[in-house]
Amino acid sequence: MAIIEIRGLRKVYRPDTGAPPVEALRDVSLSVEAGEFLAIVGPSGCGKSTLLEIVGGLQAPTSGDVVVAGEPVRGPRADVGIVFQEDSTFPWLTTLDNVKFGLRARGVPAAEQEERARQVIQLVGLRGFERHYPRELSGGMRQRVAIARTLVLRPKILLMDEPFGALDAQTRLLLGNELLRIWQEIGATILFVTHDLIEALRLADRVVLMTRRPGRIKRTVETAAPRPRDERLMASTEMARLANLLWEELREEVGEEGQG
Amino acid sequence: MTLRRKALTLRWLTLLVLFGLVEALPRAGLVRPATLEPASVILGRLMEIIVTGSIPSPYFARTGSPTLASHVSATLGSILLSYAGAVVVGTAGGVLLWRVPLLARILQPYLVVYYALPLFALYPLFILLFGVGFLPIVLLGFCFAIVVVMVNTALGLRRVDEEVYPKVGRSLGLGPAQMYLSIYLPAAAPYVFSGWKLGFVYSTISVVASEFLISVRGLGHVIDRSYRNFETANMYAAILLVIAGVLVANAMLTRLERRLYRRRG
Repeated sequence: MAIIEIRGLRKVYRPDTGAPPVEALRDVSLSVEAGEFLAIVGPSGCGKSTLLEIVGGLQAPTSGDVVVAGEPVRGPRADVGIVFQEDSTFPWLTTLDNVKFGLRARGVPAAEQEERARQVIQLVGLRGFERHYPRELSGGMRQRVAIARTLVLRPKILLMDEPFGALDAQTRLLLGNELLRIWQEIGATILFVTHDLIEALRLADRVVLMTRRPGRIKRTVETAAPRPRDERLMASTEMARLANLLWEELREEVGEEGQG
Repeated sequence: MTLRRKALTLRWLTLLVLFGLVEALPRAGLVRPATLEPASVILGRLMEIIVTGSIPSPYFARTGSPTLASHVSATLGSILLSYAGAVVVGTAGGVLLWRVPLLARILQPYLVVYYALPLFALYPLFILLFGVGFLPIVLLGFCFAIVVVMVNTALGLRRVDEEVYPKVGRSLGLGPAQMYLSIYLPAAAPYVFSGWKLGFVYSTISVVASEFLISVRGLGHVIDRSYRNFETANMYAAILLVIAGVLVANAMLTRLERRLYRRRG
């Protein structure tokens, strides 16, 4: 059974400045299987982030509904974790306290907080940086802290909104591989928003391509290629075909935007 | 580190040059002693006042109280009272401005012109309403300091709303109280603290200036009377005392800020 069911989702923003309403999403339907790694790609401003925030319960849809684990979403759920694009680590807390933040808020006993936080810090490769403040860490390390802060709550579903968007190419590649390793270790379902087609194909089981605004689902491609998908595999005929196909579709969207 | 050291060196150097100028100009006869006494004389007088605990002044010996403690306690008391009020009410008011956007919209033009108004021009009104003594001085200090605290608090909280932190808090399932204490408070702290620091300066300015006009005690009164009686060294010594007080208070607030900011959330 699907762990996430999105049916007929529509989102319209009505600015209180009196500007005309903006339709961000139109008739989006999608189901995600438990344990799946699903990537969502699309031109910027296509409503990918909006979709993710609706699934995460941070925004309400205008119409349509989202069902997670059999229950309609009405707000943030304890078993859904979100990782944001921008640096979201709390600058006033150390790595360890950042990671413990959600546990503390949920009233987990101190000893358990400590143990779970240290485990996850180890998992994301930040051992030795427990006492550092975010300003003493690189952008990639801060994003690891943010991921750890979410993972420590053991979410069944991980929503990631361009989590590596602000990082350089090498760090992206490295963190992508680590994310796959972690995903295989914890067995969560991942919804991964990105504007990078290759990143999407390298990581996901299924890639959903969205149109420009109002965002609809244009095309879905699946790949069963074994992981890790290194440079050689990514250059193989099959992957190149998928990448080209997605690229053509995406170019249409960006091109139309340019003409309009 | 080198920049820090350079800045520190230059800072002391400017002080030294200033000291030299203040020393040289009166001694060379370029400035009248009624305007400026040599720096060494001023510092010597300051030391004398602190050590003996009284102001060596024929005027104060004759009319007022010459003891330093009575003036310092008057000024310090007025500043602390007005400042405490401004911090408590101003911070709460800032939270209110942030929570009620309509209120912020209504008050915005008033808040913008507030510091352009000569609040001191209203001191006769304050005397009329509250009499002579501590009360009008404390109230003027409170009025002068509260708006900067309020505006900075509201600004800081609004900035937090533009950041990703509240979203993170909600996604982690925080309740309203936890959102305030664990997200908004620490995230807005740098702004709130700059409001608090400015508030202290404003409070001090207001209290010392009010003492010029409507008090028979306090460092402001000492500055004013010394000036009128040509006791220039006394005047500058009292000014230095005020400056030292502000520097100490600022350092204490900075320390408090660092401690809170580094505190475990």
